[in-house]
Amino acid sequence: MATARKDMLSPAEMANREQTRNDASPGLSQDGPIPCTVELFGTARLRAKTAKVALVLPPQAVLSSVFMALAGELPVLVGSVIAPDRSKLTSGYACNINGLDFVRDPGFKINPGDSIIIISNDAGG
Amino acid sequence: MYGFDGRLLHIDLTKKAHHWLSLEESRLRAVLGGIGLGVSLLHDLAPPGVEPLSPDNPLIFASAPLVGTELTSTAKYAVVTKSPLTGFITDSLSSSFFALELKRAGLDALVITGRASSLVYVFIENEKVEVREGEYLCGKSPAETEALIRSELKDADLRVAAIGQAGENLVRFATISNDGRQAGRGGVGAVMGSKNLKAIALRGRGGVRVADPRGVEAIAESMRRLSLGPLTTKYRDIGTVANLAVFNRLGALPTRNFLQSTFDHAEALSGESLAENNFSRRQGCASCTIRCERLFKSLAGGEQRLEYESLYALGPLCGIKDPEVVLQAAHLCDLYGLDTISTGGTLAWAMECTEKGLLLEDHDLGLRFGRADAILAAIPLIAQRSGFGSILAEGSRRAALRVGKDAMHWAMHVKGLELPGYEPRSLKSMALGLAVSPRGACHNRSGAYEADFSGQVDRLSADPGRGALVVAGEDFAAVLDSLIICKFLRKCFTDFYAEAANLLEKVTGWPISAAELRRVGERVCTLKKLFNIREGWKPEDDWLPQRLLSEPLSTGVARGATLTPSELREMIQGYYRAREWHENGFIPEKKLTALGIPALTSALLKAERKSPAREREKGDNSNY
Repeated sequence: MATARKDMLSPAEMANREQTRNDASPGLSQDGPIPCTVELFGTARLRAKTAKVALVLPPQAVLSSVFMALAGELPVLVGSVIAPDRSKLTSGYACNINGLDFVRDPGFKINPGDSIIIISNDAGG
Repeated sequence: MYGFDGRLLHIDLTKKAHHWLSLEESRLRAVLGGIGLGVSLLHDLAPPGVEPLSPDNPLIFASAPLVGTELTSTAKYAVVTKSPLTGFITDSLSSSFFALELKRAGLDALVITGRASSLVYVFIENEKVEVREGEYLCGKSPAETEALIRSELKDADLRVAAIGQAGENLVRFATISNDGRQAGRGGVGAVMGSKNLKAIALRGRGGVRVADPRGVEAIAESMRRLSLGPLTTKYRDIGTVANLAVFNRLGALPTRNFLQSTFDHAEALSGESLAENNFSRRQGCASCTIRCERLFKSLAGGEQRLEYESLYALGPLCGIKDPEVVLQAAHLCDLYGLDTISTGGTLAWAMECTEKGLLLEDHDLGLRFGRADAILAAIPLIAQRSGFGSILAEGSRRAALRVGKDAMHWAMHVKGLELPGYEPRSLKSMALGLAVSPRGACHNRSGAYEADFSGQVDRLSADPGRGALVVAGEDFAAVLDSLIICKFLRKCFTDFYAEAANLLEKVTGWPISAAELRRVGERVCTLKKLFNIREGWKPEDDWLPQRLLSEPLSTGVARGATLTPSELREMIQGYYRAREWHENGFIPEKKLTALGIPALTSALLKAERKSPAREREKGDNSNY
């Protein structure tokens, strides 16, 4: 089931960021196919030998739909970056939407035009 | 005693005397080893108000219970002293073979005080301690110094920690180097140079005794497996340079002296590009399975180790877009023994001052953002304290005071320590961690970026609840740094305090609970702050540079993000509350008592007063 934002943001912040995401993709509806971009960083990029992948997801797509579609485009990522069941990332990776919000919920709703950023789960160094 | 040797070696270079001191088990259990032990010794051995570059400032090398055991990623040692850059405590960690040799030599801690009349080095081989003439090492790089000492002593397996020209010339952000690694921050190399001590050469013949060898072996095997799994992939596959492109995408990459939080040329400098275009080989510290180090090929010949912080500070922070220039600049820093973060931070400050017309004509080294030739020319001048390089060698805060006008506004430091590569305006938990850190702007002593980069909190908003997060991060880091376990292994624990307590029990034989271990972290953090208070800390020292509190971010996804003084103040208040300190940041007596600190420090002082005199009377320094 699709969920809204992570619950740490205030309702006003949530509405504001949701509006920002919708503004970024004017004229695109959730009822039709959802174009989005997956950006790969670090090991994921080196393994895939590409930095970006354009995907078109089915209507009402959620985060797990992204991983499913990405696994189809780049099977080399399955097992190392995408979990074998293709519904989530492996424990070494994290996901960010549009450079702002980190999301873990596989039911997180994807908006048209979203950039799904896949990075290492470990930011330190 | 298991896990420790229970002794400390104190060398007084002025008197050319040394003596061994016993370390009581109660002290070791209270603070463990590494940074915990170093901090506790600093309290005892540094006279209040000591001038950092004076003979009386103790330079403390501390080992730890897990060092030398079978556990992966534990070959590290701590260097603790009063920093010539900040005037407060500095605690640095370095790694690899020297750390193992310190342990094999039976040294839980090595304390150096005094000042030799000419350049010397110290050679320690178990009980044998020699202060040897070192004038012939003057001006040599740490690597050259290591080779020359090995040759002189005809022992290719000697392990050496040395300073470069920067340390000899008392550059306030000079490092101590060993095995190609550095105790980097806070100017520990300058303290070593102030003692006319070029190097420490070690040869240990002893072993490491643990209480439950089979138990340790079982845990070590499990950690080895985990260390090769997905939780350390980044470090194994690319190294910390992987951070650069990610931070740029998230608007968290400090660029051009924090004028921007993204860099137009980040792609060329990214870890991914370096891996494709410049990768030479991968290596690791002694007895580490992760092997995070990346060496990259330089056009100038040879190869250069590069970490994210060096890449950030000598790259985007200075507007440098050519990876070759960054590699050469990092090479120069290693050659002279300079902290790359403070070098880059100070140069970026000078670049901005030059562009704003704040510098006198004879101070103009041609430093402008993006000027590759100028940065490469300036680094040797800093190390040699030549011309304006001598002012830059003081670090950005002191240099700004010398230049005057608005120069201080562009000095990006906390307590005098230049900022690492995490943009505080788009990483609010990190902002708090940087502001309150006892050693100044340090990312590693709180690891507060973890909360920002995990989605645990909204990284763009500030709230007092961050205080508890930073406290938890600081306590965690203090325990890791006192056991010692490399932070790159941190995610391999599922219940850190319980697992680490079990491991510590198997090493030392001490029955210790998870809660007690967490208490050790709190105690060590409190001791650091207590030292700073003794040395003149004021509430306004826990603060961030004015730019960060007055200018919104101008680029990237976080464009427009601000951090206001009231937001920072609220977070700091939240931090003090979470620590159960007074609202002005001072520590209540009852808190010190609850942590057992008064009893600990008085016991330490008593032991120190008693033992050295007795040892000297016995003539225990006859090896000289």
